[in-house]
Amino acid sequence: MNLGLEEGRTLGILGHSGAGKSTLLAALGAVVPAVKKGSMRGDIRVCGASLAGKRPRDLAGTVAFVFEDFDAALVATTVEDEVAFGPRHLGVPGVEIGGRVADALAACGLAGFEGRRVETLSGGQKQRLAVAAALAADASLVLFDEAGTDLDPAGKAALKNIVAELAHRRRAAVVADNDPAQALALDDAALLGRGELVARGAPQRILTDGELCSRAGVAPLTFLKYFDRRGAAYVLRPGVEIAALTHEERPAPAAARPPVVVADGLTVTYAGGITALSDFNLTISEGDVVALVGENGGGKTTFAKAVAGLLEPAAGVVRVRGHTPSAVPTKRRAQTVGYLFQNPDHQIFQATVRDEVAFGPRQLALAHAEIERRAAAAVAAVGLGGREDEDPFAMPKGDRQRVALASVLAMEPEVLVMDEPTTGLDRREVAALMDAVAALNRRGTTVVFITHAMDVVADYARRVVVVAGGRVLGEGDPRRILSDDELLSRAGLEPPLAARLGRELGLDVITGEELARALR
Amino acid sequence: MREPALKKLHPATRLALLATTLVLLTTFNDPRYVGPLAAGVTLAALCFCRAGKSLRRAAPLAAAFIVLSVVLWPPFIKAGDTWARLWVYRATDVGVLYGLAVGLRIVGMLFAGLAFLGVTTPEDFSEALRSFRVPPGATVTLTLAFRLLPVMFEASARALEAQRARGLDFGSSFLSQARRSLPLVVPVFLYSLRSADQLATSLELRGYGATRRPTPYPARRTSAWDWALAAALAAGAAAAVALRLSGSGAVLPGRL
Repeated sequence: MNLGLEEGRTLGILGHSGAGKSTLLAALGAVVPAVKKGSMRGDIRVCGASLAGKRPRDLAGTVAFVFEDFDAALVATTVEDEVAFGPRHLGVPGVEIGGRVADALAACGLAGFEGRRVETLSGGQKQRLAVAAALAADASLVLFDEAGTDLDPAGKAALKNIVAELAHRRRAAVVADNDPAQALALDDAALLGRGELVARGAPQRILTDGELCSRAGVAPLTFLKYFDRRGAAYVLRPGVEIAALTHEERPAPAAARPPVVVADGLTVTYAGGITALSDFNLTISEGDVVALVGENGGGKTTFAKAVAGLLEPAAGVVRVRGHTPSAVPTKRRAQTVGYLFQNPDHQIFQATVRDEVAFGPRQLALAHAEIERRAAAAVAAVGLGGREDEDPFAMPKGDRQRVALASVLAMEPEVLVMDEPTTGLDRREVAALMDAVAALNRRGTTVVFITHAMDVVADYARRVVVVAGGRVLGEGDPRRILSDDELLSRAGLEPPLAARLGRELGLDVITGEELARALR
Repeated sequence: MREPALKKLHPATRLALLATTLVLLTTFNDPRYVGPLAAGVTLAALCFCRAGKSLRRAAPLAAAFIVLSVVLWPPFIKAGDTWARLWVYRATDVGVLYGLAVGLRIVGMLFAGLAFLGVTTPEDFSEALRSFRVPPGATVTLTLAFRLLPVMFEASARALEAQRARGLDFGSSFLSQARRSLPLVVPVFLYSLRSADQLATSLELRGYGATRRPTPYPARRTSAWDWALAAALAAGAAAAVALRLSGSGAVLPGRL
């Protein structure tokens, strides 16, 4: 692989899971081969110096790294100490550290959090903190490895600004991301496929090339070829005609369908006095596909856990099929509500896919034949048929997430709740997972999923619930909700790129497919 | 809200204060001496550390320590007059007083420790250890342990929720819980391994080890209060040891 990056330039690295994005970044930070062992040929030079024989500590102050697994990379107990850690150990004078800490926290929207203990922050806030800690190092090259996975759209927009500001200060940044839209604001994009450089060039040129994107397993933004970029905005190219809008109407659930989940005045307070939900009211009907969206720390996960009976309300009630989940015996509850956690590694523990998926049904003391039937059906539903004897720990994250989904499906729950199921997955993995979920829904399973990926909402949700500050700010049809700028901005959200571009042209579209069809 | 008074002291002074308190509580074994000391620690924790909340939480545990100590120590102390006898159980006046002193000592230490932790972050603690010339590796390890504990607790809690969501009922008996804990142990163990690996890399990239003496931040200077308190602590500790060596403050002279 041959790549170069000048100071003051930003480069996006895109590609499917396993394409080599993280390995490339790790090599740029001397993590490979010094810490993660392996063989390496060729040379990398950073600021003119070869990395041969160097360890990461030799690059401290020159290269800063924001890891995908940000939680495990945080080293201090308070926010201020975390950001100050790098400068302190680099011997930066105390008077300068204060300024760096304040600037980095302000840039990441964490001003005022200085004294907060790290473990009390939400996932998105921890990710912002990891970025702030990297900024405080004032390095010449900053590496962002999937640094926006847990951020709400407002956080992702802030991250884009941070990268732009780095370039403005003559720093270089390399940003690896699964979301091609994140690369549009960068100077260059490189497509990686199976460890090789597929293409490099201006993001708009590369990402509109369907063939190149396909080789790298990246979702092409083909509709962008109809636009010219003017700064941050896109305008329609001269000569392109807007055809009559055609978009697929999604079947809405019949109004007469009975409610499955009802939250009435639900209030949840955590130990320590933090109220995550306050007078939360929501009804979810049978057979619906509901997307819960909103700002980091807004209460989405708390609601999902209350539905799964994992949290006790402080006031109000949540009922699933008329019962209070936390009062239902564990085994029966697991058959009513299936809960898919964001990180599959928190639940996988068996040596084979088959055993992992069969674990839940075994808890129900079902007959052996029934356990086998359920496990086989669940594995087939997520597209892992034929891989039953594989070790789940050796699978890529997208496959591990599907194993986790299969193990939940094997309980044959009436309601499936998923907490950010597509985080860290590439386009193909997202499609495989969500298509499996859509198929389940067609067979009658009610689906509730939490996500920050607005394109996934546009593609799969039948109803969108906007949550912020522990309350429901709004709910309705995706087309209506994703067109309501005021509502979305109150929850730190923004419409998908296709919807934004479409609106500038007066088109009522929310997905890239609809936009491309409208412009054909 | 104003900072607790003790937090204004240099971390090294706070650590010295804690160490001296522990020495004082260990010096005597007469409840007439240990009692006022433990009361003083409690009062100081409330006034200078605003530790009311954590002390209230620990109060039942403290009461249990005192009761258990008063009940359990007497059978091991033969000296003194018999106060109570029940089958093979015999309690002398010296045994009960010694048990009470040990109970009060433990409570004093517990409250002093809670008050100290309430006003001292792990980073402060590291700074204090560095002031006493403890090697940097040991201080950073200690800070990381403080950081990793909540991470491990969180990972365990998530693993527990994930398995409960799949219908795993841990049961109520200890044996049943232990037998069914495998689905928790494996994910948490693997998560710990991955975390440790990631943490080590993160430490390196952020400059750990680049300098032998990291910049103190926020910069804390010793004030006149620190020096005055250090002198008072040294004098107090010396006086207490002298008092004990002269034969005062002990119901059982041969023991701590």
